[in-house]
Amino acid sequence: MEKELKPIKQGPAVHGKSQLQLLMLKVVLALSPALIWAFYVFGWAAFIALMLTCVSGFVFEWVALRLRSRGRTRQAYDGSGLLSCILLAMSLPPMGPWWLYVLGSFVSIVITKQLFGGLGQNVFNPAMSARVFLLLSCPAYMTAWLDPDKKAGLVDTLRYMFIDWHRESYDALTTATTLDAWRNAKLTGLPLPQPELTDMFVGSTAGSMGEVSAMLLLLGGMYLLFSGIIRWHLPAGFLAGVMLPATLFWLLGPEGTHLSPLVYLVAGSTMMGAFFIVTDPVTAPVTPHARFVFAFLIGALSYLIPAYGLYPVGLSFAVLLMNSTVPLLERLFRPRIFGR
Amino acid sequence: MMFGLAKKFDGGLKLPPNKHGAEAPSRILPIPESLTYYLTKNIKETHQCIVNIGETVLFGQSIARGLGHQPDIHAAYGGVIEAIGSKAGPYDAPEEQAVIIRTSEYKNVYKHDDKIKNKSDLLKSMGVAGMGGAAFPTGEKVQAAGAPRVWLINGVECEPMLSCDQCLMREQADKLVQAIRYLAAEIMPGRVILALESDKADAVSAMRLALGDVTDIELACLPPRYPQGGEKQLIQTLLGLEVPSGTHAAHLGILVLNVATVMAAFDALAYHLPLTHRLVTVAGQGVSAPGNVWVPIGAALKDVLDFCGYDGAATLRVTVGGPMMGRAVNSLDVAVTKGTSAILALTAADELAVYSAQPCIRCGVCTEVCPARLQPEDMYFNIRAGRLNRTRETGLMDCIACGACAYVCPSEIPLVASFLYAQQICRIEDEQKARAAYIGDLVKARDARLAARRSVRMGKSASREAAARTVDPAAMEKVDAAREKARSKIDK
Ligand code: SF4
Ligand code: SF4
Repeated sequence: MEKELKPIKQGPAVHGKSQLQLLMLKVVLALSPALIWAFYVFGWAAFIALMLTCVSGFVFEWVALRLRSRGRTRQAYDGSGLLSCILLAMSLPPMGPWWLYVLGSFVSIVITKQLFGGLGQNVFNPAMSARVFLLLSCPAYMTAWLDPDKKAGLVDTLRYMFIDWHRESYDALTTATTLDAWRNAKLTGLPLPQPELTDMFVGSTAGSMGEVSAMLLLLGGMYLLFSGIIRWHLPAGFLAGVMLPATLFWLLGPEGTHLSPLVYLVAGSTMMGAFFIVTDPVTAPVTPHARFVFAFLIGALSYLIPAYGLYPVGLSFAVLLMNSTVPLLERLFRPRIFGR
Repeated sequence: MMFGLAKKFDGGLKLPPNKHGAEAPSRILPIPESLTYYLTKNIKETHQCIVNIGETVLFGQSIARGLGHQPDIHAAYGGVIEAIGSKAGPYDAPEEQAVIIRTSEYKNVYKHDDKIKNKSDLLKSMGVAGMGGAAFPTGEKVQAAGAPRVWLINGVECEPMLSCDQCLMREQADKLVQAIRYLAAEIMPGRVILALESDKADAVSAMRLALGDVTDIELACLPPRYPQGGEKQLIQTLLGLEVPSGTHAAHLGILVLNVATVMAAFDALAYHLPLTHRLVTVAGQGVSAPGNVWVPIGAALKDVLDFCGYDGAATLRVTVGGPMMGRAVNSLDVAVTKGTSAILALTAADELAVYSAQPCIRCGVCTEVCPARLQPEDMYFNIRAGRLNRTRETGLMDCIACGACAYVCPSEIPLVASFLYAQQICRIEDEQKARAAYIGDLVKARDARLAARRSVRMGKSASREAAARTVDPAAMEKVDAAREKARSKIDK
């Protein structure tokens, strides 16, 4: 029996192996070693935080798509929302009140992504905009990092996250991140602590889930690079952007006023930024040159903001700021068309 | 002779070669019952039929004259003209005008007189067209190039699955060298380069052997990459030159001919043999005996596919031409044309494109692979938003429709389809503008003419002498200039 032939309008009759859903899942796979490590370091809190963010994010996305159009709910399964939520959870404190995560996923999925027109249309990085929103609206919770040595059991963790979530009850359990501690000491004139480089690199210091292990994030980043999912321009630009000012200030600044650039290199937040945050394709420029400049400036800003600005975290502000310059960068670095 | 690469062309990608049946010796298609020759292309008339229904034609007899530069069409086998009418066509128009021959007469060969001496006219009258896919009239191309600085012979065949040029070079290497030398003496190029891709080891060694210690034909073995066989990409790779936007290779004094075209041109010029048969790759999981087949131009796809063990139940898509730049057809009655390099029967196992058009995530891989250095995602966005002019500024007309972008796009967006569609609209717009300008000029010319006449009449009533002065040369010049301008516009 002859089947009816399925003609397509025009264009290649065959397609490469690259598919949207698969792409998203591969990035999640690249994040998973660092995630699993975070579960180990922070215990139940990290797991619950991740679940809260992802489940509420999925519900928000489904509802938003449904409200926009009946047929679109299929897009809720494309994995992009899941990835945004995981990235968001990884940049929030591993233990905090439940509403912190739900509010975060709401801002990230509904306001930053769906209100701008859904996948591909958002101007700002969903994870970073939610983080900035929370940082500005509830700074107290956003700077309380669970101390890995004081992680609690399941029951206690649930109590802390769902019932007894007043800021004061966290005080005993939380501490500052290595970089924050150093910054606070410098601002208040206390003796400067010496960062433990190996601890930072392997991951046993306080911080967000995405900060905890630079090593495993680097591993995931390498996987993304070598499987061709990301190109080198963005991570390399970002690393250069962080390391160049860090080295210059360290060399030229007065003794002891700046951290060694090595500290930044082994910080989980640097690796997270380089391989998973600036590489969000939707909110980055498309052309290679523009990408490098974009990531370089994010890197430089995320070094300079905590060093000289008001806020301890630079990355999220830097990302949002640079997101708004994307059209300009793309215009400046448009490749010359063949034969023109 | 060894060859140092000037530069790699921009963008591009490595594709799985999938050249099934490439090593098999070529076969010959048994004479089909009927042959179909198109007189139109996208409903536009390209040929004028010069035979009548019921007339008997001989092998090689010219049955249709090409309009303009279009090469003539010749019967691939003798027979009787059965019909002149519409027939399933391979392009956008589902039906094209065609001449259909019922084959019956095999013995006699039509003898062409050899009065034509001009080589481009001879190429036209022997029906030689580009056989790499686009079927550009070869006579016109050769004429435009004059005595080229460089003559590139394109045996690159970078599309996956295609192997007809490879097979031709392997089996007829000696004849190809002879053809190149003959044609080189005719067109007098400064340099001759034969380019092919290094993964076709059999073709490479056959050509090496045939070339022996010939030094005036350079052999360039290029690392495989798509779309290296594109004329502009090949020039960039071999010579490091970019063909300026909106022009052809001839602009740089370069002539590029495909290997099969070279053979056809040789037969036409040296022996006055018209182009009637070509080597076609039949491949895909939907045929059990893939390989290269000598097919008379005009044979139906169905005849060729059946000869190679076509499995109609498994095949989901049939394309004419390669998987990247070929066209999917919806009928197997479509006939083989001079540009048909392949007939592919693709099944579910061939990774068919579905074009589900999910949202663009700006991943940029399309930009990365684009050989024309365009930004497909940006062009697509502008086309969707109806900003055709903006799309044009960003290079719509420079897109060579290679399909690399659509092939890699993870969101499976029908990029090429939208570019070709937009290009078509732009072309129609241009045509309309030119026509409007032409009419405007005609009106102006008429006004000037009337004014001149009026002034003559007025002058008459005064005196003859004054009249001679009033029909002043300035007014006449104006008329002539306007007419001239209008004419040049229409030529364009
Ligand atoms: S490849 Fe597809 S998804 Fe990626 S930027 Fe291009 S059009 Fe968008
Ligand atoms: S089809 Fe056009 S836009 Fe796409 S890669 Fe080829 S030349 Fe570039």
